[in-house]
Amino acid sequence: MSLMLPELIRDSFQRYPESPAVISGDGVVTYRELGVRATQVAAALRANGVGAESTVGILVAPGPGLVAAIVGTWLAGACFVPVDPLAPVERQAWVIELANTSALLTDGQSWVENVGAKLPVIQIEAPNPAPNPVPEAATAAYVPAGPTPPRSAAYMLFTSGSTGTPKRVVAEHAGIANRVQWGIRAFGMTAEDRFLQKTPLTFDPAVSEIITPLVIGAPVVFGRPDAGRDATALVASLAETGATVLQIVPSMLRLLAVEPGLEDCRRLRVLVSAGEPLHAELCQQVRKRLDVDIWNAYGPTECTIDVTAARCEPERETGPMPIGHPIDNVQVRLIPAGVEPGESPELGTQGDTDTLFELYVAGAGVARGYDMDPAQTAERFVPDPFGPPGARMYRTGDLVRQVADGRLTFAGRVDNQMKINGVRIEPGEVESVLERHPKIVAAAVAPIDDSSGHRRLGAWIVTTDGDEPADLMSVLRSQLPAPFVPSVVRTVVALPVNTSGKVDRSRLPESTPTGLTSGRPATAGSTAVVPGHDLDSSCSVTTEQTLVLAAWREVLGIDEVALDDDFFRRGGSSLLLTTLAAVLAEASGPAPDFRDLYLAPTPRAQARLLAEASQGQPIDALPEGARIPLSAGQERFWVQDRMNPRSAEYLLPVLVWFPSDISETTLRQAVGQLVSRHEPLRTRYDMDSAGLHAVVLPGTEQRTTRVPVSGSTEAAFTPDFETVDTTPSDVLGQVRAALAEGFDLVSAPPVRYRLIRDGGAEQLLVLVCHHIAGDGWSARLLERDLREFVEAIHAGRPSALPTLPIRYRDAVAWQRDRLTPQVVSEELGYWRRALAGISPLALPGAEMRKPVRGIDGKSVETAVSAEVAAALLAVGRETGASAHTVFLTLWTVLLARFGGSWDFGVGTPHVGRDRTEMNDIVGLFINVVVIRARLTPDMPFRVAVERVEQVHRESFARHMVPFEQVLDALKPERDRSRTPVFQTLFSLSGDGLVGQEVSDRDQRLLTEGRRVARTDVALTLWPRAAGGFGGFVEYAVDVVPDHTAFELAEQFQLLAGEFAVDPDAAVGVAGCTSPTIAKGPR
Amino acid sequence: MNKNPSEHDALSEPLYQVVFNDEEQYSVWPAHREPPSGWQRDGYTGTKRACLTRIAAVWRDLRPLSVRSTEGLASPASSVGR
Repeated sequence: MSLMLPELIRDSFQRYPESPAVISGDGVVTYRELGVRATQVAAALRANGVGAESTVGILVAPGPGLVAAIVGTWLAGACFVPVDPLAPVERQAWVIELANTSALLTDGQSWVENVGAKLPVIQIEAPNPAPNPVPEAATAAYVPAGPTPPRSAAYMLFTSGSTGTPKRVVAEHAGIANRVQWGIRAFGMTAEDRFLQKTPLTFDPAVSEIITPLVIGAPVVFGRPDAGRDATALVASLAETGATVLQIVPSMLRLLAVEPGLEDCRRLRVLVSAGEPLHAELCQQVRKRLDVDIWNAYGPTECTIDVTAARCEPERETGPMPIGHPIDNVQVRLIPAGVEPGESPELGTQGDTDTLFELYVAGAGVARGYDMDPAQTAERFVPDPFGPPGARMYRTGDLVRQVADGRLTFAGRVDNQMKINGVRIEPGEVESVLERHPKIVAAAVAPIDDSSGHRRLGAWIVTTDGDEPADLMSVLRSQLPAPFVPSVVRTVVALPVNTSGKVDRSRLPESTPTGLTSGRPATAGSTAVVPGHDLDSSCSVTTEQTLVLAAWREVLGIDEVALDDDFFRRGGSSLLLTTLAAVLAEASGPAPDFRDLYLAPTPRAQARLLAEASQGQPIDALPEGARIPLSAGQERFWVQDRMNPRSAEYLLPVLVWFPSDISETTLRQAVGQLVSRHEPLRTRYDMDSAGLHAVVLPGTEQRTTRVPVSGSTEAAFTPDFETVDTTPSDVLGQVRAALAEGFDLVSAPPVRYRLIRDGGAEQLLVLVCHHIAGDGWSARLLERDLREFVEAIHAGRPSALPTLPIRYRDAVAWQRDRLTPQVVSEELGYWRRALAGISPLALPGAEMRKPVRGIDGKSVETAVSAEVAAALLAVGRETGASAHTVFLTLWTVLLARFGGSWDFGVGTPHVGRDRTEMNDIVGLFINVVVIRARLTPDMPFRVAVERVEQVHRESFARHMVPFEQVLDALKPERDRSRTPVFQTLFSLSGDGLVGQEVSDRDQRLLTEGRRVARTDVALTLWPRAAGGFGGFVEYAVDVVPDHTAFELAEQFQLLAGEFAVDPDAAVGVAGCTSPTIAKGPR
Repeated sequence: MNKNPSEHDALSEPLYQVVFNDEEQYSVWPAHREPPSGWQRDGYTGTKRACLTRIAAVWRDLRPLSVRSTEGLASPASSVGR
């Protein structure tokens, strides 16, 4: 038998006295210094009656003191029990109690006070620079007690048991010595190697990290304190220590693989993955950045760190890596799964690649057993009929298969196997497919039982961006048999792990079934509320949860909502979320931040937000007399107007029809009240020495408003109101005239009112304002408020409109405060990545572009019938995509097919009203968000919708930073021939959320009357009262020929029909008959 | 009528025997099979659960016999595996 580790380490003290033995943040300790301190520890232990087979608790922070404590314990012949220095004191006391330790080694003071009386506590000090030669007195108290017996206990580790009390594994010296020697041989380690110490001692890989160097005369190198948990700290540690060998769990390796600076850790030559299944994709990802040998090792604590290992072949591209062959002096026994040991006379033979085996381990690594637990030990450590007489083998409970060359692949856990609908499912197989998805960082699956006892397969995933990948279901369906496809998927921030970093399935948050693969909302059960079973909450529903559930029912129009339902899967959209925020605010007072709601799409999470928001700060009123800032959007319109004074490009028309018997006086009076109510209607803009600011003029009804305007030098202001009496045939001409001209933003508020009377039963009030004063949402408010004022005056009653909680200027000041540098930097970072290298929209005819873009535009109507729309929206609902996403997808596909280029951005408005206080005020809040979906022609329409929805959600979550700042950050090449970044816009308005509800009559007036193109080509849609959607394509006449625009409008309708009939058709090749599309490049 | 579940289990469950090796380490083995070489019968036969209960009662010192006998300075009260 070869020498045991205590003897080998003592040899090293003699052989390498001046070599570094420990390198840590505290500096370097030599072998001689370590030897002195370890010997002193051994002597102190002996003095306290500690000897062979005693247990010694070690509660010492990583560093030289820890190494001295371990070696000292072994020199005393004892067995060490690590006590986590970071654990709560109660847990530490419990570990010490259970392990029945004879003494405690610690570098902390608290233990002397807490348990000092119960057992000897020996203070560990870091090794000091020792005098040379070492005075004999320093180590005289220690007398070595002969060679370490191979079967003596080396260490005791607590492993998580599936039930209650953790098991305490006792490993023996023969086993750990064998494992350390194998590592030295297999990885070719010498004194020049640096094996990074980053694993907490409570996990057995730490033993090899600390002991291996001491056997070969290399130093133990400690990484930064959190190098075991944090990839940034790990990379820094690797670089600082010049580490050559690293042990790592795959979940950490995944983080390391994407961590900046990895390629600089060039001394790293061996990476040993263990603890969880490893996939070739991850190896490839790592090797692309660093030339390193990757090993995949496998082994339970009961078999002393590692049992099998394989060097991963670099050429392997995909799939799980084999766990390889047994290490030196270890044997594996393959017994068919489900067969009891003793009942299987023969072992699995090499080449049997079909059978699922349970893995048994025999040989050097097999541990002694479980401390003080004979029954569990006898059950798991069983007679080995294939080994030497009296030998035992450990029943791992792990399932393996053989590959052709006899190497083993991990196939999951015996006790995790579950039956769902009669099918035996191994979670590991499903998890490995999930984890191969590029956006999934980690995954776990477990059965979920609903209240009726129906069992489904649930998956919990952690993704790179917090969203469920849009193509997840299609990927799973293509790679797994149907019963293996999870029917419930939950995205979580992190999977529960045990302290070794492995996933703890027993602690997965329970989930009520939602978002089933069928795409239909869960409707099981007769109760509307199905509380979850979080450990942190009782089963009763909180007040906030009740509020949220009620709001969901109202907003989504559904009867049954569960606490863990996903808003978007239940038919919600980002736009409906704004309504939800409003409803919640109405019910509870303070409103949660829109963005927070967005990122917390379940009632449970939103209820938590609501509880938090009740402590949120109200929006403060800007003090009277303070300079009034412009919002970022307003600044952009100001600049654009300066460049193109009085341009008609950005006008917002609002058309309101009234019965002809309403008098002009009434209407003028109502307009006066409207102007008083909404400050932007009486705001002009000015630039002075201090910069750009807004000037709010007193309204005509100022006396009745809350805010006094004492000291104002501005004259009361009269709205630009004109009445035109004309003929029915000239109404369009009058609308066009009202929209033909821009405004001087400096001299007066940029709003005009035109009352057009054609002698019919109705008269048309056209309100036209510059976009600097309002957005589509404002248009809806203006119409609503105007109607109410008119009706109130007509009826001789006061208006029933609610008092506005804040003014536009207050909202602007609040928004500007909220755009902290961190928010701006995070969002701009996203946009830089998302829009890097974006190319312009390709359109037939664009070659003839003028050097400077003209704004002259025209519009052409389009429509989607009710039947087609219903079918398309059903496709969207399957993946939680809203109507906005579905039609945005359709528009994107249409343009791609027209121009032949699939990578371009589509601008789309974000309402920007993140606080419910903003819901009733007129003003410019809207922001433009760019959706760069990067569809490919081979994607089925269904998948394209998923993809767009995913990008949509990512993009909308970064709506706070104004688009102009995104532009500044991107610094696109200056090209005045087109609008920057995107050359097409899409908006879905009039659905009660954004913009005015438009009748077909108004639509015709607007499309005919509108002569402006905001960009090359834009699509605006709105739902029609009669079902389906109406809309118009707005196009720049300089760029898009009329016939192309007509064709776009027509093909939009045709394409909608095609995909409604066959949502699985590839978006690039669906059977469209248009000559333009047919000849378009693929 | 319904069978007594425990009765049913006891009747249909496979039977095991308690065995131990030269290091006085205990385990179980199917009752109808000869124990592997180096293992002897303790004499107890029953369900696996019953055998493990029996082992919990008789296996008082989990240290291998070889370690127990070479043990010199150990303080018995805190030895590993007892």
